[in-house]
This record gives sequence, structure tokens and C-alpha cells, in this order.
Amino acid sequence: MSATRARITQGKASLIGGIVVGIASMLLWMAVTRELGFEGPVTLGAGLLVSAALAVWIRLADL
Amino acid sequence: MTMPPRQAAFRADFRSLIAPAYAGWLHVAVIAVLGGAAIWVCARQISAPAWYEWLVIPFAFAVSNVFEWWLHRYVMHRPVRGLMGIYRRHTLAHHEFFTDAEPAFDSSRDFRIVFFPPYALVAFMAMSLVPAYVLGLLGLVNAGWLLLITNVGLYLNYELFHFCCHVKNDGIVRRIPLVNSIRRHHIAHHNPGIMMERNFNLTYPVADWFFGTSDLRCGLLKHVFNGYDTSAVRGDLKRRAR
Repeated sequence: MSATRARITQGKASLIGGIVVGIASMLLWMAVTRELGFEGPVTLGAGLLVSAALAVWIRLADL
Repeated sequence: MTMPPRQAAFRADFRSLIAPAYAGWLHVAVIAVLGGAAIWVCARQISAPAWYEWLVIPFAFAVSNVFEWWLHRYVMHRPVRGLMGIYRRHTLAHHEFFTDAEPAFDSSRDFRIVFFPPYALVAFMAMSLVPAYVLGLLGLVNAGWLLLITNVGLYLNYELFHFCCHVKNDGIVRRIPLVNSIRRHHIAHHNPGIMMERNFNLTYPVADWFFGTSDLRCGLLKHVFNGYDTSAVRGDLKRRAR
């Protein structure tokens, strides 16, 4: 393993970060859709999909 | 100035290790959308604030400016137990990737080393919720929302200005007041000889002026609107020659 890899690979950080950002984006999705008057199971499901996709991307991108 | 071989080698190594799934503009979009959505939701909650509730904005600006300076000086540039990841990412990676000899990114994949991870924005939002909640308990509900808006806005301001500091073509940014000042200020900070002791602000160099950690010897207004001017640069700096 090179020194650079040790410096940039976050490992657990991107896992926790992905979960944290996923939860935060879901909360914001609910707040935004409530303000816009788009509430309901479809909106909630879409929010879950978007938030989960974001969390997975952060993990895959090791961000 | 040509790029030092050590910096070129670090860049090549760093880029080879960026995950294939990483997308720079998606990284930017996530930060912008999360921050923008938070600001919009908070703004919708404000209703007829009293005049004194607006005072939270300059107060939050001052506290954020000092916090930005403190975090950069004492966490991002110092190995602190429990926060070593921040030190490694900033001092050992960001400052190896960008020096005053070559301070610009080459492509959007380099955004990986320019912008904070999105969870940093969430962390700052969570930290801001505490004083906002206290303001709400004190009956200053609008001030609480204004505080959240100001803090998230300043976070986005930080990211935007930092991006402008590292953009290669400065044809536009060198003409924008405030932005040109912080660009010169930050690129000077990337000289390894002064990075541990000078120029820690990334938005407006107010705290650097106040605490005497600027590389300029001049007043506050000159600091903020200095642009690219180097006439006030201190002569006693330990700049490392390249």
C-alpha cells in the first residue's frame, strides 16, 4: 500500500458518511415535499430511493 | 512556475487512487442541492421577524469567520487525536496536491481533493441546529431560522470561494472583488513555508487580519479588497523557495 493510498482511502468514513448523508437527504426531501404539498407514499418512496442511491454512491465513490 | 516533481508524483498517485465511481460534478451538485434545499426550507419558516432578530446574521458571520480560521489553523493543520482524518486529508493530501507553484486543478476528478465530503455539510448543519434550537426556546424562532440560513450559506460560500482559488483559468475570478482577494490570500497559504502560520481564512480574511496571521501588513478593508496586489505582503515571511 502506498503512502498516498493510506492518506486518501477513508474506508469506514465513507460508509458512515454515506449513511449520514442518506438520512439527512431523506429528512430534507420530506421537508421540501411537505412545503410543496407533495406528500404521500409515492413521494416518500421516491425520497427513499434517491437517498439510498446517494448513500450508496458516496460509499462507492469512497467520498 | 513549473510544478515541482514531488507535487507531480503525488498528483499522479492520488489520481490513480480516486474511485472509478467518483464524479466531480455530482459531488458539487450534492453539496449545492443539500445546502440549497436546507436554505429554502428554513427561509419558508420565517414569518415577520423582529428587527433585532436580523442581528443574528452579522453575529453568525463573525462567529463563522473565526470558526473557519480556528478549524483551519488548529485542526486541519495540526494532528489532533480523533480528528486525524481531517489533518491527513488537508495537510498531507490537499497541500501536497496544490502548492503555490501549481495551485490549480486539471479536471473535475480533481474535485475529490478540492471540496469537502458531503457529510461535512451535514455535520455543520447539525452543529448549527443546537444554537438555533436554543434561540427558539428563548422565543427568537425567526432568529433561529436566520442563523441556520446564514451558516449554511457561509458553508456554500466557503466551497465556492475555495473552488475559485484553485480554478486554473483566472480570467474571470481575478476581476471579481472579494474573490480575487481570497484567491491571492489562499494561494499564498499554499506555500509550504508559511502554510502552518499564515492565511487561514477561506471566505473573507477578517480573522487573519484580527489575529495577525495574514501575510499582509495592512488594514481590514485593504485585506478584504486587496485583490492580487502584493505591495502589502510582509517582508519577514519564511517562504520556501522552490
